[in-house]
Amino acid sequence: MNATLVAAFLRQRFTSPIRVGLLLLVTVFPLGGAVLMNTLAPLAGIASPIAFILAAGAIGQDVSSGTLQLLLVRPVSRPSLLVHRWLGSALAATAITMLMLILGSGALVLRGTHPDALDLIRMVLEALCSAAGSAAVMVMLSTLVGGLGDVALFFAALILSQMLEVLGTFQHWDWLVRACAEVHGVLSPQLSWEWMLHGTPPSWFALASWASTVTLALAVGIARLNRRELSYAAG
Amino acid sequence: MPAIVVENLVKSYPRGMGGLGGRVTALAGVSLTFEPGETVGIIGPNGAGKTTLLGCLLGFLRPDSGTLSIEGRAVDDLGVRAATGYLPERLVLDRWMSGMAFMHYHHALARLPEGTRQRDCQALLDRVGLDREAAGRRVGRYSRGMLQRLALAQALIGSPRFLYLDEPISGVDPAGIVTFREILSGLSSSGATVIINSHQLSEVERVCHRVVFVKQGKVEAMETTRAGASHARVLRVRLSTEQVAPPADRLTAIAAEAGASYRGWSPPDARFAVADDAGATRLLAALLAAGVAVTEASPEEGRLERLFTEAAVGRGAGASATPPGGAS
Repeated sequence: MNATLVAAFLRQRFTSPIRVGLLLLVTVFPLGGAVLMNTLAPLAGIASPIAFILAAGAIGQDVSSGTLQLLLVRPVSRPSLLVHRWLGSALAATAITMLMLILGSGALVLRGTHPDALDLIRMVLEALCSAAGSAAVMVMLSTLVGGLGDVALFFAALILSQMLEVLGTFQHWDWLVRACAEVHGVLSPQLSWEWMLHGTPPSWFALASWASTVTLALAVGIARLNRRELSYAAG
Repeated sequence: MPAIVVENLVKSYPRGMGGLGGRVTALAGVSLTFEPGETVGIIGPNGAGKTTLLGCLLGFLRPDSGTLSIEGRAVDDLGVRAATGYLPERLVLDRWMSGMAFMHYHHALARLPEGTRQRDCQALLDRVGLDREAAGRRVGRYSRGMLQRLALAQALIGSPRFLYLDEPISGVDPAGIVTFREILSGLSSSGATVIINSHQLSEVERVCHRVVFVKQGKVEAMETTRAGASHARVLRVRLSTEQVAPPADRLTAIAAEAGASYRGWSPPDARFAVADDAGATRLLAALLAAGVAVTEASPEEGRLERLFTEAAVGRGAGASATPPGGAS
């Protein structure tokens, strides 16, 4: 692993006031909710938005600004760059989620509630999978358009699929509803680790589905970045 | 063995939305070779294809056809990249880093040993004239000239064997230009191949061994800038202000005697047309022999300016031009 690539990428992300502000927004409120409600449940879904914020524009912003050219003159391959940006976003999102879970657990303990260790492990594993999934999708989208166009693409796909889902529900078109659910799954790949708590076998189908979505997103991203022309003369 | 070989390179871009307007050709069969230790300038009017050529050489752009090889390897070979330095025209460096952190970052990306990182980076910053205070400052607070110096220092990391400089002295002060010349001279003697894309013709003429003139995607002319000059030019001769300038008919007579022609008075210079270097020498000798107090003599325009002007308007490349793609 190229630690230089990951460290520089994360330092860049954390020097952006807008990103830091958004990160505070998606972490502080759920943490406050967890303390007030005396449960860690509000922290369950924060990994995905954190990964989204960190990975947005991961490639596209550097393509648009021109900094990617200077980077790719160095002995760094394009696939390696993409994979490291995905890894950086996913690992940082998981780390931040873990920090919030530790802070939330501490607050709960101070209030006399002891979180279940197995449940905490489940939440960390789910955070890791959500962060890896969302980061892969955003990094892939950022290879398709410049700047922060990946954010626009993400929300356009999300809103369109939701509208079509409503249409499908009204018209009783099950195929459309199922297709839209698949699109949602692709936009925000998640994997449940609930089975750990119930002692049931894991869902291999869910695991394969999550893994294939992440792999496909990275493969599409790598293929697109490999074909992308970088000179500003290319327009 | 040439360091870089470009053969029949063709590159076009889609015109209009989604390429509906067809394609516009940026490079139309460019063939060039670059030797180790050679400094080559690429000049030409805007839109000639210079940046596209550089983009293809750096692996940023994919040619439609033709071949590119650097020491026999592909341009995007990681080994080639480890030996490559690049100074971009658009200085969009990582603004959030300090100058030194930026250098450390690129030193690490270049896979150079961590043990020498601080020493190497400091030496390069010293070499381009960025002091320690500037090195500790955020890149976002750099002036244009400082950015240019930092970008040059970055390009020199790892003593590259292939160096691509896009408008390298744009925004640089005179002291920086002198530093730039010294660095290029050192690179050339170390065997590095340097390719410079610039509109600063006088500087290109000064530092390059060879100049390639690109027009409409083709190599229109190549000129060896350090070879003997054999072209006609106008010479400006400055006369001492302590003496009364000779009358025009006398200057005309002296010039005719030396095989040149008097073109008029442009205070404080007299203008003469000469056929070549030898003609310029004969003219100056004749002026001095006639007691004219000459204090300075310089060509009215550089050779490249002439080449540029002639080739840009399609009048050919002059006597010393080589047929397109026909020489290295």
